[in-house]
Amino acid sequence: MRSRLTALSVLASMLLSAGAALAEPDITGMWALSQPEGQTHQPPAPLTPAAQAKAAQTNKISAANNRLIGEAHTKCWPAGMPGLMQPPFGIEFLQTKGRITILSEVSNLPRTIYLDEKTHSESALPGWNGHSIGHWEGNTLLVDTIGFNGRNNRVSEKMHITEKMYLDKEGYLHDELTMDDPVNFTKPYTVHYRYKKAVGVEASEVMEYVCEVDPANLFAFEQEQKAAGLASDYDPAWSAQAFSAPAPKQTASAK
Amino acid sequence: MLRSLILAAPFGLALAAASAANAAPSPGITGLWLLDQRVYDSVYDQDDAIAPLSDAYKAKAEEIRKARVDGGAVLSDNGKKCLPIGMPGMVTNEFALEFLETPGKVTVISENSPITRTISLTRKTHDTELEPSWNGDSIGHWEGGTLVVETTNLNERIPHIPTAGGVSSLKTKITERYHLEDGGKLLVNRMTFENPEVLSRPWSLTFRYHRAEGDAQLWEYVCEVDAAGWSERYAGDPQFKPGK
Repeated sequence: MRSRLTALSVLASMLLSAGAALAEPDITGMWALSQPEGQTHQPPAPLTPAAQAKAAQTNKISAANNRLIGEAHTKCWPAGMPGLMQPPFGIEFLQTKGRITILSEVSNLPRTIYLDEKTHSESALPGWNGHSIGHWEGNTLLVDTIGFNGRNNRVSEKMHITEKMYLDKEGYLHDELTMDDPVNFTKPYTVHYRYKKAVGVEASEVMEYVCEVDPANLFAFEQEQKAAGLASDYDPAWSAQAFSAPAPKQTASAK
Repeated sequence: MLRSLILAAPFGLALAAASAANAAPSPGITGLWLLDQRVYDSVYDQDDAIAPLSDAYKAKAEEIRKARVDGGAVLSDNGKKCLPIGMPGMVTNEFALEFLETPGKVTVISENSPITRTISLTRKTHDTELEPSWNGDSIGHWEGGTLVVETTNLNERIPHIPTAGGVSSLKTKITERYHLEDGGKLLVNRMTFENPEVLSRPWSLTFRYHRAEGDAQLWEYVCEVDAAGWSERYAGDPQFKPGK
C-alpha cells in the first residue's frame, strides 16, 4: 500500500509540474532593477524640438534657483509610466485570475494589466499610469497601454506604450518598453529594463514609501514659476502676509 | 499507464489542496469589494459604534476635537496634505477595495490609499525593526474559513481607531477576522481594536463588503495638494514654517 501511494504521489507531482509548465510563466514575486553591465543607462531619448525646449526651460529655472527637486517630486505626483517600472526600490508583480498587478515602491498608484480585455475599455479615463491590457504569447507577455493624462514629464495624452515582458534562462525578468509619443519623441523610443528576483525576509513585502509635500518647497516652486513668467499658483498677497505676520495661535493646545 | 494517470490526477489535486491549507475557501477573497455600511460623521451604522476611550484620553480627545471644530476645520489635516488614510481607514471607506491572493500573502489595494497593504501569511511574528507606519505590520493565517489578521506597529500620525479623533499612540493593535457569506458574495470583517492606554476595553466593529461585478476595475484616485488654495490651509498650521 505504501509503495503504491509513493508511486501515485510521484506521478501526481510530475503532473502538477507538467500542468504548471503549460500555464503562464510565474513572474509573481518581489523584483529589483538589475541592469546588465554596460547597459545601466538607457539609450538617449529622441526628443522633439518642443520637448527639448521644455527641458531646457526647466533646467534653466532649476539652475537659477539651485533647485534639485523637480515639479513631480515637489508635488508628490505618481511616478506614472515608464517611471514606475524603473524604481530604485522593490517592484512586486502579483498574478491573479485575469490580471497582473504591479506594486512599485516608488509609486503611490499601483498598476494593473488586464489580461481578459482584448481592446481598451471606452470607459477608461485618462490617468497617470494609463490603461493597460495584455496577453501571453508563449512565454512573452505583450502589453498595450494608452489613456495618459499628459501630466508627467515627457508624457503627452498621445502616449502609447507597448511592452514585451519575459523571463530569461537565468531567471531575470525583462521589460522591453517602447514609447510612441509624437509630441515628445521624433520616433518610437525603446528602453530595456531587467529585474532580478529579490529573496529573503527583507524582500518579502513592499514597504511603505510615502511622499509628503513640503509646503516651503511647494511655495518656492510656484514662486520660481511666477518669476519665470510661467503659469503659477503663487499668491503675492498671501506671501506678504505669511512672511510678515506670525501664524495665528491655536485655540487650545494640540498635543 | 493511462489508467494510473487518471487515478493519480485527483490524488495530485488532493495533495495540492492539503499543502494549500493557508488559503481561502472557495471562491476565495480575490476581487473587488465595496463597503455596505453608511457612515455619518465618521460613525458607522451599527451598535457600540463609538470608541470607549479611557478616562485619560477622553479629556484629551475632546480638547482636540473642540479646537478643530472651533477653528473651522472641514477637511482633516491629513486629507488636505494628501497623507495616507492608513489603517483601519483604508478598509473602512466607501471606495473600491481590491484583495489579491498570491502564495504566502494577501495584498489589499484601496482606491483611497496611496500605499497598498500586504498581509503576510508566512510570517508568524511581527517585524520589530520596522518604523511605525500608516498601515502597520500585518500578519495573518486562515483558521478554517476565517482569515485572522493581526496588525501592529501603527504610527502616531493618525488615531488608527475610528471615532477617537486626536488620539496619538504607538500601542494600538487591530485584529481582523474575515469570512465569506452568501456563496462568496459577501465578505464580513469583524475588526477589534486594542490599546490598554487609550481604550477602556477591547472594542469591535463589523464591516460588510459585497463583491463588485466581475469586470469591475479600480480607478486611479490621486490626491494632489492644492497649491492655489493652500495659503488658507497652511496659514494656521503649527508645522508650517514659511521661508527658505
